[in-house]
Amino acid sequence: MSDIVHLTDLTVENGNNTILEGINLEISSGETVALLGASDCGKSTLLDVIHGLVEPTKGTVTTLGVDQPVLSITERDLLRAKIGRIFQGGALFESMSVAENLACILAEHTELEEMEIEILVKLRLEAVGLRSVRDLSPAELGGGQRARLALARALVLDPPLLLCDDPGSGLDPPGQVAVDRVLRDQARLLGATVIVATHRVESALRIADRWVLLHRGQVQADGAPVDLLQHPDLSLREFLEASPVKEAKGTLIDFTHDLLAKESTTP
Amino acid sequence: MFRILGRMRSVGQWALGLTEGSYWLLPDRMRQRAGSPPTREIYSQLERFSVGLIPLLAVVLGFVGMILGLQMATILKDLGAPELLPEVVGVSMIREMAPLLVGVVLSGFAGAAVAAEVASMKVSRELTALEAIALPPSRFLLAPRLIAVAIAAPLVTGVGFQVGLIGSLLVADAVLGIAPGQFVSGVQSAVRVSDVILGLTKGLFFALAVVSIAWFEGNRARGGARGVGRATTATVVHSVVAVITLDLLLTVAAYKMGGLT
Repeated sequence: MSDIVHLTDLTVENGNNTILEGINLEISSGETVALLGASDCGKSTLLDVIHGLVEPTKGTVTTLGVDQPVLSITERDLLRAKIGRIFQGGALFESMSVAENLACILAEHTELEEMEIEILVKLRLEAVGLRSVRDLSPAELGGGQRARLALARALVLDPPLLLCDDPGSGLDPPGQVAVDRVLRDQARLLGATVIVATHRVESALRIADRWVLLHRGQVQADGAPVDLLQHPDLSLREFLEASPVKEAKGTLIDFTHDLLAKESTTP
Repeated sequence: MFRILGRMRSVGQWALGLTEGSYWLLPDRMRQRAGSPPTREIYSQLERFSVGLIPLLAVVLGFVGMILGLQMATILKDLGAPELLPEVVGVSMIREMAPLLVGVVLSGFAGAAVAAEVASMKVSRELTALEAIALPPSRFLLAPRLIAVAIAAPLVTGVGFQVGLIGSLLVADAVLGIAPGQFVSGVQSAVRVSDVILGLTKGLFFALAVVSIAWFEGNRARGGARGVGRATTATVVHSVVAVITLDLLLTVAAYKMGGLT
């Protein structure tokens, strides 16, 4: 499998503050990776670097085979159009309707006719269960609907890479489960590589098949969830045990079964 | 020293923002990035800066025209030349009062609104989201506002001339007994085309300054609702200062070019 993201010795500083330090990471096509860590550990900044929105102080970044920072504005725009992004809180275009949030991207980056765009938008909204609210403004939507709109917008151009920053933040547990499920299903359907930044272990379990744990701007552990849940490192255990995994009081398999059982009963 | 450097940096960032917005006004072949500002957004902003502004401007300039008429009537009566009221009021309204008040009203009305809008988008990361999908905010938000305000400013300044002079006309009739026809002839005899051009040019420059300052302040907003409030206040304060500074510069330039004689 080819590398979708390749980071070598990556460091990001903001003034005297080191946000990320010595990050080495390779993510292959089709992988679903969770960047796990406590708040302010550098997860969002790492997504911004991969996206090309933040330039590293040191190290190299290759995204979708393009070395960053890219040389020209045109190359940068082409790269950005291939990356789907869900921002924390949605960052939806509030002055537009739900449908326009998607249509404006299609109008800009495709040669489609207005009628074709309308049909495509309907299909995209249908896929995330938002077709009936297409004419509302994002401010009129509930939290779960906003999260699903953010997902639909991120996937509207069928990007090979999807970057998600805490997609279920601010939602109640059933809402988080629903959003995680839609995210996982849609990403699988489109065959996209997914990187999700989250501090919620249960969400990472639902979505990702590989976890990268960040601690104070450094990669603390990287591997399959089953391995990391048994990791001997104390701070890592502290982080994981502060999550509902501990409440499951059993093995990862027990917890996963619990989770699936809860999901199947969620309306 | 650091404060001066900080201010210079801010001016540089403001100029950069204005350049970014103006970039989208260049023909396609002269630009590295393709695309043009969205027409629908230009119309929507044009409506906001013209139709939306005129009622408020009519009230402000109507009253200022009356005040100016009353003040001048008293002085001119004392000097024994009340018949000069239309000339004095006409020139001052068109060269100075109307464009200046358009600038001030724009600072409070459009400047504050644009700054609040941009600042909200900044703190909610909407601007980053636009950049992230290669939809440059300078093209989708700033350029339409600059185009709209560049079209609207001369129009509303022109309306300002009329309303201000109507206010003075009413006072001239009521206080000095100058007939409306006599007032209009007096204004026509005193006001030259160069005065009208100066007034309209001032209105245009003030409007561009206000919108670009609002964009700059909105773009550097940080930290939620408080940041939005700070950006809005800073826009109004800096816009008013910029309008008055530009007024001075343009008046001096007109004087040097012999346009005030």
